[in-house]
Parts: sequence; C-alpha cells; structure tokens
Amino acid sequence: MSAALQLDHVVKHFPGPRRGTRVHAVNDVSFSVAQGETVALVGESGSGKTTLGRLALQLERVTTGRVLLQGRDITQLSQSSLRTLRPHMQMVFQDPWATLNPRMRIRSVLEEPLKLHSSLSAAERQSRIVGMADRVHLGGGLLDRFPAQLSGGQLQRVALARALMTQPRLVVLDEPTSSLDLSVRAEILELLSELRAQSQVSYLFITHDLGTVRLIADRIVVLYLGGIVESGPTAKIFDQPRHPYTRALFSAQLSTDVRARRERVILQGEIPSPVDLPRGCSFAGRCPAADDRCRNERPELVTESAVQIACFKPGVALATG
Amino acid sequence: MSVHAQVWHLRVIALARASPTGAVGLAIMLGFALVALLAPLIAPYDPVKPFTDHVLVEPDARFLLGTDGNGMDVLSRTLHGARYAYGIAIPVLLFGFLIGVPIGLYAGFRGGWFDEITLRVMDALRVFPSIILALAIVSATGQSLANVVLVIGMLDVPVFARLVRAEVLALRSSGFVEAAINAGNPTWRIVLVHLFPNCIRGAMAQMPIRMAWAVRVSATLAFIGVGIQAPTPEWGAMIRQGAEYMVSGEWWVAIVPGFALVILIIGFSMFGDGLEELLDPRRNTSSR
Amino acid sequence: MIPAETPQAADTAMSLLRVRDLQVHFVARDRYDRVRVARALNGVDLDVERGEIYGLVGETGAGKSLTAHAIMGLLREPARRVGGSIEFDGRELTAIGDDELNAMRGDRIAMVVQSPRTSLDPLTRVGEQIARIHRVHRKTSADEARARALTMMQAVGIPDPKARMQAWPHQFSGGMAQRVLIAMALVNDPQLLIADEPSTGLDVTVQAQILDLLKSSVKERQLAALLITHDLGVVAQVCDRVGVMFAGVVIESGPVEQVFTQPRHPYTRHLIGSSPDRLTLGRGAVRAGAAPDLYNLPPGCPYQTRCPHAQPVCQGELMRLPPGGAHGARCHFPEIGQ
Repeated sequence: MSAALQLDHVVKHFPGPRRGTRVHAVNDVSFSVAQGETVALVGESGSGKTTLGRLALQLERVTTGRVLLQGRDITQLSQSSLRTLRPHMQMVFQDPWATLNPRMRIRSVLEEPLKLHSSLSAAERQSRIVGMADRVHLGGGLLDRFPAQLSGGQLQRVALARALMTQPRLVVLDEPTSSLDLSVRAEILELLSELRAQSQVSYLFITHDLGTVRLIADRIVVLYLGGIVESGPTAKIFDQPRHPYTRALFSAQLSTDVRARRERVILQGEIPSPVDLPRGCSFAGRCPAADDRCRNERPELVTESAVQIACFKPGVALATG
Repeated sequence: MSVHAQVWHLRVIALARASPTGAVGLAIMLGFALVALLAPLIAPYDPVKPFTDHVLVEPDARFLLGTDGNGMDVLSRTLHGARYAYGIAIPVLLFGFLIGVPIGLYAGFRGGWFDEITLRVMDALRVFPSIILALAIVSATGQSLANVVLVIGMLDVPVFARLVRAEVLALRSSGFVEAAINAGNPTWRIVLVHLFPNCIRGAMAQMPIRMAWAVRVSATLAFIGVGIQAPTPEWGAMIRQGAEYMVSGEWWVAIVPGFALVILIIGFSMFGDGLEELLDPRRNTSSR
Repeated sequence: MIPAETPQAADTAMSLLRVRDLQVHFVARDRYDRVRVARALNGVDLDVERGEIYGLVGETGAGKSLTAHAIMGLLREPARRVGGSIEFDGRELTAIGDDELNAMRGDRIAMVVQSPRTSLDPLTRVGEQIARIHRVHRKTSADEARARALTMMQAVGIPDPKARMQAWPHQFSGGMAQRVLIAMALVNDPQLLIADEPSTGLDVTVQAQILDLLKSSVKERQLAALLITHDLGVVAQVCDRVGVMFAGVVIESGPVEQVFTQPRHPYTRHLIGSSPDRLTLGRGAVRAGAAPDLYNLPPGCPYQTRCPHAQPVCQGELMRLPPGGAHGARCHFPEIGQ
C-alpha cells in the first residue's frame, strides 16, 4: 500500500525582501508518512516546518520536487482538480479563533465539508454531525452556538471534527495545541491519541514542543533551516539523539521534574537568515563541535538502522553548561 | 408586557443609552421618512399649485410657512421635498452598495490584475472632485432625476468597494479564508458565505453617511442649476429660487427648505456615528 | 530596620514585595445596560524576597498579568482595585500618588513583557531607548546615559554592542529584542523585576538563553523577581518559589521543589499532571473542566465547582497561606489525593 503522503526532494523558495534575493524556506526535503502513521515535524522558527505542512496540502506550490498523496503526484494539478481531492487531505490550523467563520454556527461549520463533497441527504448529514461531535467529545448543545461562545479547547475540537468529517486519509496539524492552556492541551492530546487508535488516518503533526511529540508521534523529523537534520522512530530519537542540533533542542526543554539535572548544550548565536544560506552544514555556525569540513561541505542525509542523520560527526561529545 | 417585549424594551433603552447620538439621529431619520411617506396626506396644499394672488406671502395663518415666488405653499413644498430627498438617497445607496460591495469582495479576494485595475479606477473616481464630475455628466446626459441618481450612485461605488476590499484583505490574512479553501470551497461560496457576512459591518456603518452625502450633492447640483429644476419641490431647487429673495427680505423661501436639508443631513450623520460606535467590535468584549 | 522579634516582624522586614488580599474587579455594562462585575483578583497573597525568583503560574484568566499590572499601578478602567495592600520595601503602594508611582516605574520597579518587537519604539534606535530610561530617572547627561546603555547591552549578552546600539528594533531577532527589553529594565538597578511571560513566543533554544540571563541577573544584582508564566517547566527549572493561581487567588505557594514533588492543592496536582512530560495518555479521564466564570464565582473556594473532593466547608471562607513563605495551600484537605 502506498504511503499516505510522500515528499520527494521538495524545494520551496519565496521571493526575498529585496529584489533578486530569495528566502530558501525548504531545501531538498524528502520523507514519507505511511498509512496510519503519525509523523511529527519538529523545528523552531525558520525551520520550514509550517511551509512543509502547507506544501503537503498544496496550499503552497512547490518550486521543484514532488508531493505524492497516496501515490498520486498532486504538484501539477489545477485548483479545481485539487478541490476534488480536498476531502482526502485536511488541515487543522494553529489558531482556532482565526480559522472559523465567526458568523457560522458550529453545526454549519461541520456540515460544510459534507455539503461540498458528499451527496448525503440533509438528515444523513445531521446524523453524521452528531456522531462526529460525539467522537470529539463536543456536547450536543454546542452545535447551535457561534464560535465566539466556545472556549479555545472546544474550538480546536470543532476544527478537528471539521477536518475528519470527510474521512480523510491525511490530516496535517499545524501547532494545534500551542495556543491552548496546559490542561486543555492535555485534553486535545488525549483526544488525538484516541482518534489515532480508532482509524487508519495518517497525521502530520507540526510542532516545536518536544513534550507533545513524545506522546503521540510514531516518527519524528527534526528540521533546521529548511532541511532535515535527523529523523527516525520517536523512541529511538528520544533515547539517543545524535545530531548536535537535536541534542541542543532536547536539552533546552524545561522539564517539570525539579530534580532533573539539566545538561544544556549551549548554542551560540541565533538561527542564520534563510535568505543567505551558509555554505556547508546549515548548523555549523552555531554548533559547538563544528570544524572546517562542517563549514565548507554540506553533509548528506545518511540512513543508519532506521535513523536518518545529516552530520559529519553524529554522536560527538558536546560541551554542556 | 410580555417577556419578549420587555427584553426588546430593555434593548432599545440600552442602545439609546449606549449611543444617544445615534438615537437622536435615528429619530430624525424616521421622522423625515414618515413625512416623506405621508406628505400627500399632511401637506395642506398641492405643492405645485400656484396661488397667483398670494405670491411671496409671509408666513401667516393660511400659509404657515409662506409662499414662494410662484405663489406655491412653502410648507407643502418642503414636506414633499422629503420625498425627493429619500427618493434620491435610497436608490443612490442601493446602487453604490450593490455594485461596490461585490467589486470590493472580488478584488480583495482575487487580487492580481483585477484588483490592480479596479483599485486605479476607483482611486481615479474618488480623486476627481465629485461635484464637478456630477455636473459634467448630468449636463451632458440630460437633466433628469434618473440621471442624477445614476451619477451620484456611481460616485458611491468606490467608497463601498474600497471599504469592503480592506476588510477582505484583513480576513484573508487571519486564516479562515485559507481554512475555507482547504475545506474545498469554490470561490463563489467563499465570497458569499465566508467573506460577505464578515465584511458587512463597515459597509453598513457607511450607509447613513452616504445617504447624507447623496442628499447634499443632489441639493447642491439643483442649486447650481443642474439636474432637478423648479417647479419640482426639491430642496436644492427651492433654495436656488429662494436665494434671489434673501436680500429683499423674503427669508422663508430659502431658509425653510435649507433648514430641512441641514436637519436631515445632521440626522443621517448622527445616526452614522451612532452606528459606528455600536458596531465597534471592541464594545462586545464587555458583554457576555 | 525592624528587629526580628516576632515571626510577623521578620517576615515584613525581609520581603521586598508583600501583597496581601489584593482584590480587583472589572466593572462594565452589558448589552442590556446592566452592570456586570467580573471578580478578577480575589485576595492575592504573595511575598518576594531579594535574590529570589518567584514564579506566578496559572492558566488563561487566572489573573497573573493583572496582578503584575496592579503592583505596577497600571490598572485602568474598567479594572478597579477594590481591596488589599501592596507593600514595596516597606511602603504602601496603594496609598501613593500617580506621580510618585511614575517615578518608581522603570527605576525601582521594572517590567519585562512578552512580544519584545511590539514593546520597542520602532522609530528610535535601540541604544537611545535604553539610554533614555536612564536619563529620565537619574537626570544624567546624554553621554553618561549612552555609556550606561552600552554597559547594559554588554551585560545582557548582545554581540558587538557598540555597533548594535545604533541599530533599529526591527533589525533585531526575537531573542535579541528580548535582551534589549531586559537591558531597559535593568538599566537603573531596580529592586524588583517583574517579567511577564518573558520567554513565551521565542524559540526553545533562545528561551533557554533568556531565562539563563534572567536568572544570573537576579543572583548577581540580588533583585527580587516576579516571573509570570503559564509554563510549568519554566517554573520548575528557573524559579526558587512558586505561586499557583486560579480564578484570582494564589491557591498554593512555596519552594518550587516542595510544591512540585508534593502538591497540596487539587488544582496544582491537576496542572502538574497535565504537563506533557508528566502525561500518560490512554487513561481516558483527562478532563480540564470549565474555566471559572469570573462573573459568578461561588462563595469560598473558587475551585469547588471542578474539585472532585469538594465539601460544604469549601463554601466557607478560604483559609490563608502560611506566613514566611513556607509551603502551603488554601485548601481544607491538602492531604487528599497524595
């Protein structure tokens, strides 16, 4: 069975702030999401993770490369052809308040995908809506309210429900819990975990929060400046991250365990500009272990026992502070 | 009083309290509208009937606000003038709204060359002194009520178009338009179901202002001698005629319609202000 | 200095900031023109000592930022302080006039906020913005102020500070801009630093740097720091003491280690349990419960509507936190659920 989603050497450039410059948002990224799998795209600002999520759904068009949905190349399709595919690939955005029409009742919000893409009768649609509301633990009384009357957590459930109405094969979630309170975040993660167990839907989970990744992702792809630096099964990467950036990222997480010894990998400086990509390894400027080779040569993505890593010195000892 | 009526009662009072300006403005507007509707019934005389032996009579028991240079009753003419005021304001508004809003919606949503071109055209229309433009067009095409409405209406289109376009642009970047695209909505649905209901606030607040403007412009045109002319009981035309007599002392011929004009325009403006206050989204954060 | 005869006196003598029973209401009219009162702060108690970082943690609507604004004297209609005291270095801030408060802000009490990009004046060079604050409060010459600004920029770790003094805010990244804000806060050697979500919105790796900077600044300068955040990880790793807020009340407070290892309030336990690194999914019963309705709070404990252990006694008056900063919770049953 072909992968739910496959990205093949995808490159995305945006016009830069000045004439003639380009923002290299995504640089030759390839990965796939198998049917029923949840993959987390992890990175900080400038990593290209949000752009990748949008490219996966063709909300942005690639500069070069291919995006395959269930084996079918969707990069060259027209907008109207894409529209017919929308029921199979959905997105949940970060800010629930901004992505729901404030003038539409929740019921209508959930009904819309069915109206657009199915030929169900009105009664059938209503019963589907009630069923879905139940699945996401949204009380029936909320269906007739407007978004302004719901809390952030409830709205995000609505967004999830809307995405799942057409039984898509792939759902992209762009930082779905970042704007939510801690306890609400936990609820949503719990819900996602339930939904994953119930069906073969594939999820592409974009986030900067490693804590949430641990809970629901099968595989994790770590991005830096538009390229993959490390990827592999979640357990393995969490257990033994080998790329210096991944390790810095992990060490920067603040745990609620007060007694945990923090051995932080100190990074110098800040992320370089995506307009002027550095020669060599994109991380060399900040890496505590970088040498001349790192600065001049670009490391290829190499696979070693289920883990992919782009580094000349994976697992090297790093100074901690 | 039933519960329902009580709630409405409270709501009206609350609204009036929240914006006294708006309440007064609305009262004026409704008052004049009533007059416009009932003019034939409440006017003492036929507005275009000349009482040739009672020319330029001062306000007295028979002619409450006097008569003009043709012997026509000023009061009756002024009352009927309200019909012309609304008769111009409303069609102009509809014209501007029904054409301007869709243009703004589409231009804002689509962007690209359509947006660029409409923007330039709209800007050009707005930059041109409207009175001059109206003057030129009406003179060229003929002095009729219909033409006046058409021309002023056309001048209203860019106002609504720009307003709506700005709102659409703001919505586009907020994300739910993208969510709508993502859900697979065809363009027409996005515009109609998602964009339109959310852009209408600003457009609605503009409506009374545009009505005030329409009344003022048509009166100005009539005053200059373009468009509607005597003996039609339109305020601008009446003021034009009355202007002659100001110096010789027959003040009522011009002042009465002038007064009516000013009050109605102030009424529209006050209501417009009130509406803007009420529709300001920041207000709603305190309730609920 | 007051001699430490009684525990109370010792307590007062040490705490630089002492907030007692702070109450703030929001008074507004709804669409039917009825008066509605939101009880946003309902008796906040907290103490911050020199050289320590006190973390004020809670979810949206708990009242953390509001507390900070109340302390700084920045409440504006429809928010009103309706009760309580704010003692700073022995002086009662609620009794001071606006002018005096103005003089203190930026000088003895400083605040660092979230979103540094929007807090900086886009039309003034960065170095000048820092110098300005020094000049206004200390009445120094332009040259002295500039020299001081340069020192501060070095102190907060901005590379190539001399050149960067001349830069504009938009030329700074999020992390660097936050450092500038910190420099602006510390330029006049304040006694109290209030940091409102200083690292939220920044990249994780940058966040760690900023928090390190705050921590070292506090220790070096022996400041009292009030750190407001919704992130428990930040509190656990950076703060010395913590206060957990819910519906305008600090429902538990104490040394970080004690509160995190042996929480005494059901809400604290719920919050810690919801943290991603403590969470185990699949148990099914993760329910956040409704956010408190500040317009209709129950009498007594605000958490009783969600608390699985609520009893009639919870509707009575809330008990006080123990004095002297010891670990305690405003709950009648602190041992349940351990």
